[in-house]
Amino acid sequence: MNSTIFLQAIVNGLSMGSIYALIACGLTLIFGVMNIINMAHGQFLMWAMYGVFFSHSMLFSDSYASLLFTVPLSFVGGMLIFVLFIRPILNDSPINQILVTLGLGMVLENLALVLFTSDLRNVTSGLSNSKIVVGSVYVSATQIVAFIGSIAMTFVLYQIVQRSALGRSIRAASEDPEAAILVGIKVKRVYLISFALGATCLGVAAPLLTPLYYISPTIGELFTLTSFVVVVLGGMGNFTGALIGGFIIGLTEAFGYVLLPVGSLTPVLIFGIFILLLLFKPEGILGTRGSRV
Amino acid sequence: MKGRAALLCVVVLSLVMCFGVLFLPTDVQAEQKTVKIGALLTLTGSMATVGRDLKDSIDYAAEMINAQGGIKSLGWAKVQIVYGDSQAKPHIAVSETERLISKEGVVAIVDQYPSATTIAATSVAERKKTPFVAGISYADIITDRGYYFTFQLEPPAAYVGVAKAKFIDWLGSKMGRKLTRVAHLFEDTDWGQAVGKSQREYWKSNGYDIVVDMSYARPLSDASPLLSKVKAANPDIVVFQGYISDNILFVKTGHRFDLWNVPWLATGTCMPPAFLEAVKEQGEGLFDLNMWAFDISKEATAFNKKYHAKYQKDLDGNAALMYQSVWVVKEGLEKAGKADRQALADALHKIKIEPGPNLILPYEYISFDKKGINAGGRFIFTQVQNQRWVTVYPENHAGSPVKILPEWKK
Amino acid sequence: MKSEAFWEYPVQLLVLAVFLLLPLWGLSSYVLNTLIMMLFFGFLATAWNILGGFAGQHSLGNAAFVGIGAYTSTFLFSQYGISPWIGMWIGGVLAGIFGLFLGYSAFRCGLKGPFFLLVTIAAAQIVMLVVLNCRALGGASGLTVPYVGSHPALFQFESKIAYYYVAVGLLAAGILVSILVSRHRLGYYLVAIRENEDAACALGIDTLHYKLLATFLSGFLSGLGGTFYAQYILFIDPESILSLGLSIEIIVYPILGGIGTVLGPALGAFILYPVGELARSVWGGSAAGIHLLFYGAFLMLCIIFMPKGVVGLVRRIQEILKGKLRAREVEALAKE
Repeated sequence: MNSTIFLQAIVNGLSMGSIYALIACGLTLIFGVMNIINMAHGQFLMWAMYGVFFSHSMLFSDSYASLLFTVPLSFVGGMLIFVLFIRPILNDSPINQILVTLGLGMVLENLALVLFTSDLRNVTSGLSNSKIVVGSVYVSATQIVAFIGSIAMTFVLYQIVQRSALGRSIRAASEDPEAAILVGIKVKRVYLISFALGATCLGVAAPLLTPLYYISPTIGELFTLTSFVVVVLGGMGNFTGALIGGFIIGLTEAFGYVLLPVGSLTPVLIFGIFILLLLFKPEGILGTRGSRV
Repeated sequence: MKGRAALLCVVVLSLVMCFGVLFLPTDVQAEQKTVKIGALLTLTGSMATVGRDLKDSIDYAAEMINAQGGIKSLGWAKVQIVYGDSQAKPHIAVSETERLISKEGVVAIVDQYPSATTIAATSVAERKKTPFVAGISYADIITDRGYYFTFQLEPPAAYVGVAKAKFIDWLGSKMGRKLTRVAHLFEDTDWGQAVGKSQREYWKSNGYDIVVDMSYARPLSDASPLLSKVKAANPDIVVFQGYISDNILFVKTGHRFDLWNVPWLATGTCMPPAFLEAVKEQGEGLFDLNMWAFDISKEATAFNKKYHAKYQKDLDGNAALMYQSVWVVKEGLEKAGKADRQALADALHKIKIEPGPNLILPYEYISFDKKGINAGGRFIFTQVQNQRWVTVYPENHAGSPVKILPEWKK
Repeated sequence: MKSEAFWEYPVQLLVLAVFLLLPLWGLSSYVLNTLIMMLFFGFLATAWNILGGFAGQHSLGNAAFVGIGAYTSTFLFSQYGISPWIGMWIGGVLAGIFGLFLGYSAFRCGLKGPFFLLVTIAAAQIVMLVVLNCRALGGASGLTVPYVGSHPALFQFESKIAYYYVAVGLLAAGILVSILVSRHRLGYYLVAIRENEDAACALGIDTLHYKLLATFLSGFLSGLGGTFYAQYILFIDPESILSLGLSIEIIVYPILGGIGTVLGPALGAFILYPVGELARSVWGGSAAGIHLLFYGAFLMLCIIFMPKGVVGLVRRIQEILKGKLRAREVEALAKE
């Protein structure tokens, strides 16, 4: 392997990793606080991406400007979904919760198919065609934006959870809901806000992703499984972990395609890492047993 | 305890009864005045984009047949299309084929890709002795089983490798140098692997140098690892077999890597209007193996004009195949003289459709051998020029000269 | 435990009789196909329930068991001409052994709840990816079962009715195994493990041993189901028989019907499979997506409103009725 391929693989890995991290942030928040495996996360992302598409075609000329539109909208959307579908099942068994979110994902995906048709949409940004070439290593401006965005989002979420009053109640509710109620924290309200924040993460992720992708009702499926891997790798509810987990998976993927003789075996590496980690360190690479968020 | 179990069983019983009533036996032959033809499409799921496109062309075919008065030898019976949704999943395709045959009473079924659903559905059709026209799928296994009721409209996968290699030779001659260094990317399901195998064999024995030969799992979440390897190998041409969403990532990422300095050749999956809509000007110059385009002949242009007026889009190669599939069934029925599945299959084994109003594809003829293979099929090659697919090869069908992008001249 | 004779189950036998006589009604092969798939999924759901319901270890990787069963029997048949009737048992045992391997690794490391579920997903994905890249197993192209016409010794029939009876037999066997497990010491131990594993451990139950036993049984039965699928459809490929989609479909039914009950999983399949089929036949051809939209919404609402499944609902209604009866009795007594 020559140095160009090696460097390019690192760039690709970090870029893809930051995308996974962007998506996994919201998931890890929901998983960490409510212990709900949200199988509809990919479909939430898909709706956020359609949000980008429509605001792009109606309001803004640049995909990044859609942030102004998708962030508040996804917060409200998250609240709505929580109230309608998640709140009734908060105390149900985990497997029931999984099935409800699966059903929700199915509804969201097919609703998009009915409303927006199956056409593949494309959104561009002013930065879409600019790139940096160092030697023969290529980095596009959109990749750099996604990379910076993922770090910034992790930082902001970390600050919110660690520093703010809201963050304190989120941490309390996730560590011991009953005790939190005793000290006067409205746990359900905290759940509502955490869920909405989790959805908002996608509202941030979507505009950063769309210039690199296409939009279709089924695009969410691309990311669901991998983002679970990232969440568990990083430790449930751990944002820094999600960022590092994202990079690990991204790099594994990039090097897998370069090093393995059969490219399509690369996902085996990812799931292999995942299983080993679950077996031997289920609290995640950064986690210590028992701590969440 | 017993009381509970009893109530439970009553519930089961009543549900079974309700279910039975809902599906009262309807295993009836089609009525004389209308003939039902089944169409198995991917109307939902990851290939919904394609399925919806094809539905229009099938509707159009039925409309054209009925506008002529219907099927003459059946006393001008009208054609009615009944749709099934395979969701691109084999076991659903099986259920839907069952439904189309026994509940709807269709005389024949036409279907699209992916080949996994075709393979599963044809085995049902064979057992139910119902003619099955595989409109777009081609994988060796479809015809290798020697099914009497399966007919494959496209040529076998082996033809694709040869056709593409010939095209690359020709393109090289137009560009003034031989394109020997080939980068080859293919999705790892039956279709991608079958085509991949055929062209790999041809290239190896004809002095080509395959500098990258990589499979990937569909759907692709990131094309950059693959394309960075392609970039490093410095190819003369990139050949890829993927489904539409992967293709979009290839094109977008290819631009990011400045890989558009060499020609790109796809394998018959870039033609749906949604593809050009998604890649816009980035698709300029892309080649695709194709079955039909609006500029292959004057008749085709006129035909497309009417189609465009109705659906506001060009008829693409796959849609033309589905149109032709319905037309093949119609010709079979004309020859059979009765709406009977066995008679139709016998007739389909005997028909020979020559170029003319009954054959819109640029084929030499349509006629099926014992295994259901149509040896008269030919391919054309199209290129995106000003965001529209135009035919550039073979030259007797070419509507426009090939466009050599300035970037290609290193 | 008191041994019970079969005539003590009049209603169950009646249901069985109805199922056995149903084909005589002259059903079209579409209805038969629907019934067969319904019974097949009922069987897979029943198999899942032994580990997922009784022992409370939710697996979302049962497609791997089904796939291993299907691939084993099909490979043995197409390569060595071994009848699928024999290959079925080999496939089942292999699937069970895979379950043991997976279960041993996971349970030894103390995985439970969502973590066990995620491990099973990942393991099933790996099995799928390996098969996808394995030439001998046909890779992504899958394997076609050689078509031999009507040949009962080779598990192939021309008529759907024969497949129907095989499916009824499979499901009856699955339910029988469930009954035996639930009446046997194994069942009590599994429920004890599900309710409170630490307490079960403290009582001296070898929890690992019983959980592994349940995993093996669940895997074995699912493997048998895989062979049935292969022989019925005559074509298997990783996408249809090893994918996460199938695993999801398998868990939907027991949860809808009633998790941890003997009849719940099959009941769930009897309700939901026809609903999906009906939705598809009504809307499938006309407007893309409507039928799955309906199916997803139906599933979601059922689980929100019946968290304990249909069986749970029936039991609650019974309790309410009983409560009312008792109240009336009390009233009557009071009047006297």
